[in-house]
Amino acid sequence: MGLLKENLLLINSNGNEIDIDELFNSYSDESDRVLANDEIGTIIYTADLDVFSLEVTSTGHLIPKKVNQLSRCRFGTSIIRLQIGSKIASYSSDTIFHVKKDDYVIKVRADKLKKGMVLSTGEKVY
Amino acid sequence: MNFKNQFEKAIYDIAIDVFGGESAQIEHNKVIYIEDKTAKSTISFAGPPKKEIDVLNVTISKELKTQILISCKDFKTTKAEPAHVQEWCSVVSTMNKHAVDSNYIGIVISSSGFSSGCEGWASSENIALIPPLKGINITFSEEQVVRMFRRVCIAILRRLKFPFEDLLIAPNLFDFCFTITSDFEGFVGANTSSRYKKVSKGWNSNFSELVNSLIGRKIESIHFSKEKFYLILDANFILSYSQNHIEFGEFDKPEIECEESPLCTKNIDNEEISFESVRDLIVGAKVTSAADFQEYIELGIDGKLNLGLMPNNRIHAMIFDEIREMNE
Repeated sequence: MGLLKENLLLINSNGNEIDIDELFNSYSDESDRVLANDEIGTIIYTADLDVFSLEVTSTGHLIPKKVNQLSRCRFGTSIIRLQIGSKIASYSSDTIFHVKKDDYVIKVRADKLKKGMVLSTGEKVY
Repeated sequence: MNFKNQFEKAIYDIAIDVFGGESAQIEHNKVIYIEDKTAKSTISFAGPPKKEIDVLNVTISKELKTQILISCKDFKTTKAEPAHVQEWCSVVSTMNKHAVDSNYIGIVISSSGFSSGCEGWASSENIALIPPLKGINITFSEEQVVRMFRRVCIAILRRLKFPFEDLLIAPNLFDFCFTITSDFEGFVGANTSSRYKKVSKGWNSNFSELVNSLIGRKIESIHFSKEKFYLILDANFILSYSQNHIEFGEFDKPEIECEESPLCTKNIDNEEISFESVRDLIVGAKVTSAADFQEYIELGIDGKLNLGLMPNNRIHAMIFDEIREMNE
């Protein structure tokens, strides 16, 4: 779920890039940090590690965000190419966006986003 | 122990298996009492401080004094509705509100899923839903729902080794369980079959995963033994093929005994070629494509040849340079 691995940029607090595969491979199946490792995929707990993801804003700035869990699934959902605001990126179809609707914010999957929808961040879907 | 149905028993068995022998107890029409019975806000004609519920109560940590209150819904044809989730929100929040030194977290499990509208109640009250609501009409089987519960239990058990208090704050437990269970969507749509297996794990797989993990790998050796082909690739990766089974994945040490030489042919007129010559052609080259024709599989090798692993212990190689020369 969420951004595809290709779009996920992980860094440490010094700004150095973290290799995602290396991070996953550094923990054995028995490690408590590995929350799940089975036929579905692997999930590791990273909240106490020095791991941040970089998110691109509509103005092109990168904002580091603490990563609590990292998931790597064996069989992902389909991939969708979307332009949201000024950026174009690939998303898995089950990525969740928060969309403004009247006075509310509703959750919408990437594969159900429609042109003209406006996200809670103010970015428009093209 | 009495169970209302097999679903409830399956959930109970998993809780016992993951959290230990005396951790879980199941009770029907159980009258639950809050710890602080003098709280004024609980005085009512019905409901708290006493309420009858069916509950699977699991103590996950005696140190943290944390218990999971699980509600199993097995409606077969209809989905659990917001009212069922609201009821559990009420039970868990009342228990927490008047707890003296215990923490309660809530999970609602429905064998047939949840109708829309449940999510808002669950996330705001920090109740985990299994299976997850994913915003599309996706149906998970009862077996998959049970597997999700096991995955969640193992994740919670391991998560206990790290600071756990944050999960008690809404909507963190809801989000946590959603993350643990949401990847089932891709798995359900993957159409895995027993034809493809992951080595050492024994998991069913599919052609897509085979291709993703095979392409770009360098061939280190090829072997044939007991009607099975073995392709050893770089980074300790193996592909084995017999007529109905394709196994692949990382290995420790492959045990290949009684090596034999299969019958090898090449090009359009099925000219004979030695197994050694085939080996010389492919060792050191990379796999660039793959096709599964059910009766046999074919691997593209560095754009130089197609290597067909065939039934009846045969290999057929289409060497592009030689075919081009023949045509000229």
